[in-house]
Amino acid sequence: MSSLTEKLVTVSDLPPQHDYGAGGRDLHAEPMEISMGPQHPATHGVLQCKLLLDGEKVIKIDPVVGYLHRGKEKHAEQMTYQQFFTLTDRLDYLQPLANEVGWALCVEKLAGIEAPPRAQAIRTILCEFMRLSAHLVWAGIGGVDTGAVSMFMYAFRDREALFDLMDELTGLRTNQEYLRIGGVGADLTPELVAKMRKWVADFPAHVDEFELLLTGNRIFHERMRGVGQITAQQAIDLGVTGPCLRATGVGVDLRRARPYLLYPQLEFDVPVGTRGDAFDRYLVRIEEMRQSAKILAQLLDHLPAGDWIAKDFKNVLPPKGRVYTSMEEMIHQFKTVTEWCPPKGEVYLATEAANGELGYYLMSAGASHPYRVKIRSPSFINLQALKPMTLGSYFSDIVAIIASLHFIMGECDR
Amino acid sequence: MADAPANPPTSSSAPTAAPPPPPDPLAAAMTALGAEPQPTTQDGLPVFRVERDAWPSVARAMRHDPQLAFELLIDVAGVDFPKRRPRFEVVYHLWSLTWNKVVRVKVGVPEEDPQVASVVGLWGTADWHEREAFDMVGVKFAGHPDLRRILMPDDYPWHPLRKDFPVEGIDNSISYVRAGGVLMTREIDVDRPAGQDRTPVDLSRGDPAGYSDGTPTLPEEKAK
Repeated sequence: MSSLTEKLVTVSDLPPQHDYGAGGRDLHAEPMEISMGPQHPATHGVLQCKLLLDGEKVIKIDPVVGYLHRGKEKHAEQMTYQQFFTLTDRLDYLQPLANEVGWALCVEKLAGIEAPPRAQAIRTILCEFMRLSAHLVWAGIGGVDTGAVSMFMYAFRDREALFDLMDELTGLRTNQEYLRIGGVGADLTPELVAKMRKWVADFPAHVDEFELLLTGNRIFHERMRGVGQITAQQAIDLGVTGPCLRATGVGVDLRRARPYLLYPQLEFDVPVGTRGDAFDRYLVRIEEMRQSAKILAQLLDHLPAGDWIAKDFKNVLPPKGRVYTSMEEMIHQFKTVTEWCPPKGEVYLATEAANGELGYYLMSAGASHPYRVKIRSPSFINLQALKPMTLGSYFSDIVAIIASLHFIMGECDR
Repeated sequence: MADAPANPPTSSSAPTAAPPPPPDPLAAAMTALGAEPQPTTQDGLPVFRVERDAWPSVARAMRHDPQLAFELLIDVAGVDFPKRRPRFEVVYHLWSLTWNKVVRVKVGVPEEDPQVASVVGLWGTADWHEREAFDMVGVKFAGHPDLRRILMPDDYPWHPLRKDFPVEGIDNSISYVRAGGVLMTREIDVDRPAGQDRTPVDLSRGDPAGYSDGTPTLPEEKAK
């Protein structure tokens, strides 16, 4: 009968069995859709991954971002240039001061203000401390994600001490708002320099401890080696920058390629990987921590004397102490806050943040607030690499890949 | 007397004139592609303006021509100029790792047909960049494989980085403010009858007329 024959199913009608090469022994099941996040503890904030799984293998991934979108670029158009520092702090909240440095350099380039050498040196110091702060959280949380929970304690011991230094310098542990257009908000005292020097001197031994915990750890190897591999070609195509690009063997570092601040005068190495997998990203970041400590030691030993904010008080906020005691500085403060306008123009300026190229594209119409600010956030762009990294790998690898990729959703969603 | 000084200036000025600046190979190559060089701005990057129809071929050459070799697309920004024609501008920043050179390329996009060719096929990173520009400014990218919103919810009806979008948001996105009064907004928000449009955003806020004396502002900046 025709009705019976219609129910016969031929082999070609069966859903295709996914073959992963050597994985012929894998059990296949009906593809299962899973939503990982946005409240998943391993997605580092509010990333949502819509996954399609075949058994334990990822066959489709759609990262959903935007849960932390706060409209910073829109807000920037309503704020003065100095006010916007408050929002840059909260981009990559692990390295608030580095975000501020990028914005300060961008506005200074637009207005033709030059910060004095001491301010430049302090900013370079802050950039490297912030790189360490971000890398320490990455090491701590990455350890937790891959099963080495004690790593968290070791990394956060150093990070707390680092934040104590920042607290002493700026008055706040994090989200400091310490940078000023034309300089910094307060001077670096000799006592604090001595404390920083001690921290920096102790730090390389602590990195050795991290490595004792992780680098030779067999479980860690099993979790990270060959996981989330991308080629240099793929990384460049996807616009990946920072440690994730360098792990693929491309030695591009903005501190060298498009230098800013005092980096041309400093001695440091740019570590690169060879395989571009999660383990290489780990190794590159660990070596970057050592290099940052090396840079900091050079800077703290040769800190230039002089002003820490440009004396151009028609364009720059005068130091607070003098505002309260001197009539002229008070007038300058008032006029700078209420009516300072940089010239018309456009600037794209990028700095090497902990995760890659953090750029600000600033368009000024000559008004007291920017016409348009576009933040080129490395976390947002690097996150695109999650797709080629995870496809075909196991579900549990996603956690290791996210840990090694390291993005901050505050910066990603802006 | 009339023809006596006619020749000397040309002959005498020729040896004294400064030698012409060495031809900029990038500008020459870009001009040959049909890009129009623009004056540089404070950051000193070469700036080019490309016609919308020429952009796909220019982009392909910029990516693949070994003399240009812009391998890395740094950034794509959508910008809104409400009073300018064409209204939108898509600004690309490209980086040649081979030559370590960054350029800025601007493509104008009219409001009536807000569409420009996608470059996802040349730079994979353009995928999310273009989704963001579409989300924020409303420029569509023809040929994009998956042009969805990325930062705002999928069903969001507006493009928030357009200049006529108020920073406080529109309509029911703010209704909880009226219900609970938790967030501080302007008084007009609280008393506004339902359905009435919000007051348009004051684009000259922070820069009242004449305040920044002598500093020119864009005409569209002052509008609205």
